[in-house]
Amino acid sequence: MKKTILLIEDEESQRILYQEEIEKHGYAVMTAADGHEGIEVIEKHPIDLAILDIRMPKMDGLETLGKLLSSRTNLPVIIYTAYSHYKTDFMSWAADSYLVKSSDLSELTRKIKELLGD
Amino acid sequence: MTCQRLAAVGRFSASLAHEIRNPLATIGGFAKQLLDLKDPAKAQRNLKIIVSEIEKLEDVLNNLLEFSSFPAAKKHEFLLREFFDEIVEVFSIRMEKRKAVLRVDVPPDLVLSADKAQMGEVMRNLITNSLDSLSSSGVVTVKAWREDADVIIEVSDNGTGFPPEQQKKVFEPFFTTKSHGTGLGLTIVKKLYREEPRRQYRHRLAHRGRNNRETVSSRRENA
Repeated sequence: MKKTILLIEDEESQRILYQEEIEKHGYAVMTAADGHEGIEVIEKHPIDLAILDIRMPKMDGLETLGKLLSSRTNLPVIIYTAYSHYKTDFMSWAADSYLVKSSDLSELTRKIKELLGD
Repeated sequence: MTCQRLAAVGRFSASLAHEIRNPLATIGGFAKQLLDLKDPAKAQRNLKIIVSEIEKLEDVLNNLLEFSSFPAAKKHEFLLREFFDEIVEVFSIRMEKRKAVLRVDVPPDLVLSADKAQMGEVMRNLITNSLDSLSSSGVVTVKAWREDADVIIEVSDNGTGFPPEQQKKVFEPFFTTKSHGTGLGLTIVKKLYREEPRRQYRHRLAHRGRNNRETVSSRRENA
């Protein structure tokens, strides 16, 4: 059975891009357009890893991170953002990895495999 | 004051880096996919997304240029309806993508004396804000009419609006409620209107669930 990754990203074009790239590596991907949707998904589906944008409407990524981890303590989380400075925010330290967005998606897929032991 | 300026510069740099990196990463990602794509429909989709992301980068650049330098207004008279027909054309792809509608209610003979490029910048920012506040199937309406010597232009939408605690901040540079955007749009609108002592910019912002209206009025020079 394929491992399932939850992608929480408000930009539709980026959701499409990341989903397609991750699926190429043999994972199933569920998507959410904001933190609230992401939390609903995590409560209803068995998710193996979450990828989280920071700047999102309604609930930002760091607040979402806290809520995700309070419902699933051991869930591996990758923060994937266009901001580099949140890396110094202690709230982001709760994530397993902090990656800055780039057109080279190999770093993201490499980190997913590393965290899932694939 | 120095600390406040440095903090503002810091916010600005972070915001700018975010606004450039996001579309660039998307453009690069979809362009790299194109290299191996055999499916013409998917290639077409990728190209559309790339064009749309390039437009976002152009918007960021336009906002920066407008914010950093305001050239002297070059006024001339033009028909507002024709002006808004061009605006509708410019926004057509974005509107279609968002399943939104841009309604224009402007009399065909209404003439405005203004700098067309600056007025275009004002309308681009107001309509973009309205569009960004919409949930799916929303409507942005532009109305214009004459009131004595004034021409009133009103941009309204049925989107989310600003909560009361944010209304005082909307004109501050780099303040944004969006998950994207430099936070310069309304600052530019206000600044362009302050440059012109005979123009007024009135704004009325409303809570979620009510109509949001942005109103600008321009007085004719010979009035």
